[in-house]
Amino acid sequence: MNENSLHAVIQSPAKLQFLKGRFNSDNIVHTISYVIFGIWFLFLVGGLGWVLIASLSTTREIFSDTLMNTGLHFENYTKVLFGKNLIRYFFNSIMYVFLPILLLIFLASPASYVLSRGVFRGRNFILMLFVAAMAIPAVMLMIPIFINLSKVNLVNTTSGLVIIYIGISIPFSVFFLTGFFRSLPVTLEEAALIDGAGEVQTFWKIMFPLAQPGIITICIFNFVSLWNDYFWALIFVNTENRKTLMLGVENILRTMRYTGNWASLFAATMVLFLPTFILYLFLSEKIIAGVTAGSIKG
Amino acid sequence: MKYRRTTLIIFLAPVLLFYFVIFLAPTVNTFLLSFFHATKFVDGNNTFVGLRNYLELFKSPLFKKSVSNVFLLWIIGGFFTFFFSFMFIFLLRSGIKGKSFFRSIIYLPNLIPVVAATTMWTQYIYHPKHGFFIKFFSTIGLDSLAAIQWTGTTMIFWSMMIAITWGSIGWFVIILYAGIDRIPNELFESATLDGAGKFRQFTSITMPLLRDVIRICITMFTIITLNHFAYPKLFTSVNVVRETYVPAVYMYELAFGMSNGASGGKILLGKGSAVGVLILIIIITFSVLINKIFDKFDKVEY
Repeated sequence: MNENSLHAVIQSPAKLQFLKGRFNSDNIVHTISYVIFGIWFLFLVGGLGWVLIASLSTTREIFSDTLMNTGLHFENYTKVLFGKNLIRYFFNSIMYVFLPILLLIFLASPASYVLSRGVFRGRNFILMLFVAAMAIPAVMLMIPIFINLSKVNLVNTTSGLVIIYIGISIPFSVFFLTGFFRSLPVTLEEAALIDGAGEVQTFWKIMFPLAQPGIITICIFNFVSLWNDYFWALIFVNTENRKTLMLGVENILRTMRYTGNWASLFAATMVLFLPTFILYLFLSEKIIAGVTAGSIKG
Repeated sequence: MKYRRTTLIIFLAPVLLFYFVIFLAPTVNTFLLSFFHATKFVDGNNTFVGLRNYLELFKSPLFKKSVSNVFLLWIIGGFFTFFFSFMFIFLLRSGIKGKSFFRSIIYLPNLIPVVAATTMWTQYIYHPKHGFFIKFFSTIGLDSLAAIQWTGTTMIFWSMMIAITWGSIGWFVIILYAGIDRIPNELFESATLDGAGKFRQFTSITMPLLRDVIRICITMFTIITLNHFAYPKLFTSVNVVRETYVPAVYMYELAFGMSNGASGGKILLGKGSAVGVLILIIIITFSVLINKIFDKFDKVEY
């Protein structure tokens, strides 16, 4: 390239634009981004997709690496649901998750409400207690809780696990909802109080309905974390009839070495995975909002 | 707002009761129990043994192994977790299309139940016969990588670390991402006008202003790491070895006297409690240290 032609390039805006577009650092970064996120996405789809396809194949096909050779075997699902009792564990899990969440709403929202705007001694101390609780490891709590629940015969009962689930969900829920109530206007509440409504009534009739978006977010958040709980369920409801779905699938995974029953394992895995996945498909924004909102303010 | 005393009590008493039963009383009890020899959950004869439980732990090779494993998960797993988190955030913020979609698929592994994730990793990705890794690496001709026994005794710990990192990275990405979203856009705009590139903006604006969020993330990472229980326990379903041992699993075996476990079938509640106390002490020490280190950096405001 001689001096003249170089000059021509610099002089001609169109050509310069072309060069810029070609070697623009933004474009390179964008390409790298798409490649990296593409790999992540393909890995996710490949891994989960393979498990899905394997869950519809026979163990022989999985073993000989010829998936889906003999059509779709939906009987894998009926076999694990009824043969391995997963249907029962599924409904156990539903109960273990929904009961605590329902009770939690009625306990945590009023507490968060007075903590968010109340003026009283010890308010900051109580808030600090809840934040500190989030740092306490579960292993620090497990033995005394087991001792106490044994004393009142609540080990291996629904109530026992429900109490634990409410307890461990309270710190984050109160923390999150306190922040949410803080963002609501005070005027409505003041008007109701001036009109002579009681404080308790004002809360349930006016503030509680207003807090619905925050309450829905915290319900979804708690649903996901309780549905995915392994630790507490393993310790407190690990008997044949009271197991959670997670423990039922874990049992199939653990005995794989002896049974070699891959078709069942993968079908069971899909039964465990699909509820949270379907929820996520529709509510990913809400779930992500729930995770971020609480943590950032701390 | 000033509320009546009765309103405060009605509204706060239930959650404080739960707090007492689930957090406060157990924490104190675990601490006390760690100085006793206790073998029964109910009606046990607990004898005071002072610091013996702790001294036994410091001498136990299994306990030392569990601590060194958790330390490796913290330092090496932590390096990769934050390295990839920052890389993902940098790429997400580079102005690409579909970033909310990419953000949601990066978070998705966090939501996969641990048992399902472990099944996917150990029974498919790492599997020595029909596994993804063995096929992928032999297809592209990397025979040395294809020959790796991912769930074999020498590799299982590192395989678990990969699975854990994959499963937890999304949480840090969305927390840090939300932190960046709160930084006023004008800062980036004026930096662009001054000629600062994307990478320079990331190191000179984003990172310093994110100081507090990064501190929260490192503290949370420490808590999560020391709490690891499900992955280490579940990974032993494909290969029953002690390679994936961590303190929480060690404690579980002591407390429930698992016949093939750390105590050889004996229930040792006092010693188990001592493990819990040590984990808490490590968490507190690390949090204080992290705060001290971060205080050394000047606080930057916007």
